[in-house]
Amino acid sequence: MTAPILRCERMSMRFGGLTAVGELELSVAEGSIHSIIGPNGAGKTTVFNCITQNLRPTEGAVWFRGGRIDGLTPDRVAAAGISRTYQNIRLFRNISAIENLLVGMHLHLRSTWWGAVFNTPATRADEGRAHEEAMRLLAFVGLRGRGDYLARNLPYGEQRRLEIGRALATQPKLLLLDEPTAGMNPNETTRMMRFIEDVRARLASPSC
Amino acid sequence: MPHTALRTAIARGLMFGAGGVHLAAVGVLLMLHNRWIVVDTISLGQATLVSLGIAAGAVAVPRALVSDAPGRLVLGLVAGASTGVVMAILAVLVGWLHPQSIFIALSPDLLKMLTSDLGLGAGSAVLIGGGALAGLIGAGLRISPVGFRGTVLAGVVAVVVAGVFQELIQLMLQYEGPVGAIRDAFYDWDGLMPQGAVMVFVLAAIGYQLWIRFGARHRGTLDDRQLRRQRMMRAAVAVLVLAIMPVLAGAYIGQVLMLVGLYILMGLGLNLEVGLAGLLDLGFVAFFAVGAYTTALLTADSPHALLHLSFWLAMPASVLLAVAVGVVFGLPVLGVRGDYLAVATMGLGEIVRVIVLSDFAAPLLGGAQGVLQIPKPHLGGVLLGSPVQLFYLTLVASGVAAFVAWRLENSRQGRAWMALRDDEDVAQALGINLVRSKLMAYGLGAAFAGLAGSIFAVMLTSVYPSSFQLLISINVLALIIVGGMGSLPGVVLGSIALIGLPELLREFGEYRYLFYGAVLIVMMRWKPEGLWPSEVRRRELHAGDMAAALDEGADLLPAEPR
Repeated sequence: MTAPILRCERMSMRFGGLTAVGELELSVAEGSIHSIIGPNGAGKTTVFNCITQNLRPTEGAVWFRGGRIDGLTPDRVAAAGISRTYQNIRLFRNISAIENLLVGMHLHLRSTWWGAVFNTPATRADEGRAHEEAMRLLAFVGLRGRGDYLARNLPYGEQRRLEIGRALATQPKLLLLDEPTAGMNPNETTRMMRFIEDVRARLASPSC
Repeated sequence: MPHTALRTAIARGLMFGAGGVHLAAVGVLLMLHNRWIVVDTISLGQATLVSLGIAAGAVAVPRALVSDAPGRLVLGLVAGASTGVVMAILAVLVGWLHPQSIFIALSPDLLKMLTSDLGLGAGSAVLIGGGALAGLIGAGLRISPVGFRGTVLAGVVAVVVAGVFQELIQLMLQYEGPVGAIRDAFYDWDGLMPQGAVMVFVLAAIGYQLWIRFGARHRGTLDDRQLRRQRMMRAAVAVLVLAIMPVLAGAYIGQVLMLVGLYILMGLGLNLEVGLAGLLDLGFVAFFAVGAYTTALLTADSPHALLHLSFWLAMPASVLLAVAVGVVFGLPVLGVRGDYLAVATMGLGEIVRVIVLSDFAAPLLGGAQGVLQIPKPHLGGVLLGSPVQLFYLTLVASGVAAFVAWRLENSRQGRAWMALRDDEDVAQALGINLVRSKLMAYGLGAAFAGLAGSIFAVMLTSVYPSSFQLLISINVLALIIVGGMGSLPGVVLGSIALIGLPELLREFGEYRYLFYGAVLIVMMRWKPEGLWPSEVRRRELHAGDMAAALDEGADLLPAEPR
């Protein structure tokens, strides 16, 4: 077996006297799909928050692709290649769907603010590429034609997929989906499962 | 007619009456009475009373309660009469009790105005009868078809504008020959003449009719590109009007527009911070002060001056220093969010003012006396001395600022700011560097304010700490809110409405903040998105393609596996 892409060593998260996550050992192989299951309040989301450094784990270490990521700021974790969705959808509600995707691509765009002001050829090319890529992603998550809707005006299922699309826009090596099938009926759940396999096929990136 | 409907109508009428009493008691009513709309016919104060009655009649009962026309008319009349009764009671009380020693504004002059100089009995009757009539008109307008109502309103608004701003309009038309003849048809020395008012009304009504018949219908058939071209045309026309306005209207308008321009500059800056990045900043005036003081210290002929540079060198220096202060300001409050950020920045703004005022900094900054004798800028041998010339400088500066803001808004940085505004944590989890983005917003916002401050310094040729009150920050914030958060045209509109109009109606100065408050409350209640809300940018499709695409991919749950 190759070296795992993600490894948590004795990762713990304590809030005062409450231990939400205790000495978690976890390793994830590249290209695999895993599920973290547990009853409500078991700490599933806290594990995600600790991996992405939204919360700083109180003990232990998190290794990702050979480097330690605990203690980094979340934006650097994202740059390292981890992206996530949220249990209760957290889109940028007041901008359009396609702009949500473009925000997700932030890391991979090179245009600067002065480039934007002077509308330099480099910026124009960069924006053009970003737009094309966003259109491709929009089609991939099945939202073609919805790009100009404000995110908050999309129906629930589409918001879920847009959120996944936004996470994919960062070109992650590891995608963390927090309860991706919450509120879905069995039929929709099956389709979501197929969709997740699709995502792996496309990105060859494992999903939790 | 149901009992509750009658009660509602009376209650609403009384409410508008209470509003009238308030206006009378704070002195606004009498002040408005001193300005004619139509000479010797109707004053602005009388028009206010009438419009109270009309408003009471118009909203007398909810449509759900009474929907038949006669019933609504009767209830409108009742509501208007109730408003009239309240004003009549006020008149009687003022007549009997002479309360001026306690309520300064409840004076004999007010009594004369309320009773139309007819004595208490007849005057009260006129108030009640007039109120009833106004209420009837209000209810009638409400149930009349939209086209008719719009036409009447357009006419009335045109007459009020033509009457209230008669001095300025006459100033613009102060030529002999055909222009003078037109002017003399509408105006005499004191203001708008009755026959002039009728003509204005008719012209505006015809104009409105033409617009809804041709302009409005035409609009629906435009495609996206034509609409965009239309918008560009409108913006160009607006800039052109602004540019020639001072030439036509003279120095006074020039001065007012110059002030509006400065606030547009500051508004554009704060709009980057608040409207795009969602950083509520109440210490914005600090950057304005830094810009003004930097220019003062670098150019003035005073003992405090550090250098005697030309304005054109001092201006970029002011902008750079403002940016530096913006970044320094931003650092300590980076981790502070939302409402707390507003309080923290307010504190920082005050710190700057207090430092400037302090004895400690007095040897450098001149303390309360400020820095005097700042020279006006030269441009290629021409002295930009008059307000009108400085107005053009401001116009160019605002134009540049608006262009920069517009480009940024549609850029990678602009999207990062909007993401930050909507959800800071998620933005960070997507790889956006919060520190850099926030400092960028502070720095650029500060740059615009510094530029405004720099021009402000040469406009006044002196700077004092008292010019940099918290109130300026609040004014700028208010104009953004009224104009529409995050909207560039909104900034312009907000500045004109909140800074320009009160300046033109000089005698309102004392009550300026009363109107501000009222405007803000009304806006928040009925139009929270602002006068000119920012639009959703279309990136994927143009309007026409939308329907087709929706048909094609109607139900979209996960794309079928390929």
